[in-house]
Amino acid sequence: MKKIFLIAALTGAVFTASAKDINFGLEATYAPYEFYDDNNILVGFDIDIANKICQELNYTCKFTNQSFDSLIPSLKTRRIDASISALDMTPERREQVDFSQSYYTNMAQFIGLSGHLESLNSISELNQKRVGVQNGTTLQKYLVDKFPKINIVSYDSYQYAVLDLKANRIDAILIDSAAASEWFKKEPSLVGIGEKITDPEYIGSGLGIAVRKGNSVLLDQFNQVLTKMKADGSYDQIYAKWFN
Amino acid sequence: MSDKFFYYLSHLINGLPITISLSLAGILSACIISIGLSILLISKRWYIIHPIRIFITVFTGTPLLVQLFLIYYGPAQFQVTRESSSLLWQVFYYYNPTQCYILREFLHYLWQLLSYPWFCAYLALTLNSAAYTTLIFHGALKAVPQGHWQACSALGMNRTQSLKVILPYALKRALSSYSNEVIFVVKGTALTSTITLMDVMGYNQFLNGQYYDFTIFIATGCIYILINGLLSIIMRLLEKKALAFENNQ
Repeated sequence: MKKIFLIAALTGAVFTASAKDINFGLEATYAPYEFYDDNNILVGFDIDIANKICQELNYTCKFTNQSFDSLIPSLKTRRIDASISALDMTPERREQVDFSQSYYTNMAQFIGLSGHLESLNSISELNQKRVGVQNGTTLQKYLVDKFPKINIVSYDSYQYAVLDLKANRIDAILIDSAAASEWFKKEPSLVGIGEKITDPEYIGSGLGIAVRKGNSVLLDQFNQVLTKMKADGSYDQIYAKWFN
Repeated sequence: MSDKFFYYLSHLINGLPITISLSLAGILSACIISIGLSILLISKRWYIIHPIRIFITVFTGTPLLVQLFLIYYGPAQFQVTRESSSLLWQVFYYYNPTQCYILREFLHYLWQLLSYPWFCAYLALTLNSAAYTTLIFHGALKAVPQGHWQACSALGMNRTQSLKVILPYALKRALSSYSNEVIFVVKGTALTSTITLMDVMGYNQFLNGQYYDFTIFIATGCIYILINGLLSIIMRLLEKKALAFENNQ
């Protein structure tokens, strides 16, 4: 009898503990924000930020790896509680979800193959050329809206775009500048071309953590912790770890 | 909701040329290849049957997505290695200049073809569908009663002549299961957006990345159901016409 009570009590404890989980959705092919390292462990700037938030709030972080364009739908259908996946806070996304305060200001950059396309004075030089981007990203929308003469090639993930760049199927890739510098480390044949790009309507509005619309409890908690992290230096530590 | 639906539809329609051209090209070439293969399968020589059996096992046993990726990204890997280590080519050239030149030119043209994602998708769809269709046609050919063959030989026909009589009969009987395969090819084209082709599914993902709206998927589904509905009506009419001799009885 005692054993049964013990089991019942323990299961109860387990379930109450799991109620304090936060399930973060992300797409883990985007170094240095979120990616699997050589030991197949999920690491990155976003992961460290999320873990720090969970630690401060006494929650357990869970991460769900899924395709990028399914992140916001999963959030809306309550499959995940929040999404931290280098999400630009664009007006279209703000209509669908609520964002925390910005935790990183990003830029974008074109990359090319050394020996082929190495310099770029203006983006219009890429007209009629083939440029790879990830399908469903703000960078894709930026190219479609602003540079309709560029031949845009859409990929599921940047890994495949880099494969095609090396095979000369495309001439350049438009990618987040921090992600670009990770690729330069991994692939010495890649070079950055042209200036880094910001455009307040598309790129550089900052990255935010997305939560379901109306979930102000979680949003306030995120904002409080982010403010605290920026004040006490723990944010700078994480920043220095991934971006220097 | 409804005005947005038509807005999405107007964007998704941009993907129709690729979806339809891939489906038609894939269906037609797969049909021709599989008729050839199922005739070859009747022969009793092992060196003809075994390679075809292996081909069928490979292409029916692996997912279409895997085949697409292997055909699109696979040769690209070799291209890179070929350029970086030209030693192999130099040795080959030293021993046999003419053949080396021909092989090199051939690989060059093959590579140019494989650079087009449309061609890669077409190749994958054709090979995949040919494997399935061969099974269907070969099954129908086997199901023709032995008496037909015997009747042909009683009339003094040789194997080729009897085949000319029996094959059209068998193909007509296979039409109803073949119409299923035709629809599978159309639905298979939805996977080609993974190798950068902007078909209906590609535009679906593009719109979904911008608006995150459930309606987009409904619109996409409507387009596919329209194409497939039309196709199955055509196939049913075709079947009715082809099997008219049976229905009259």
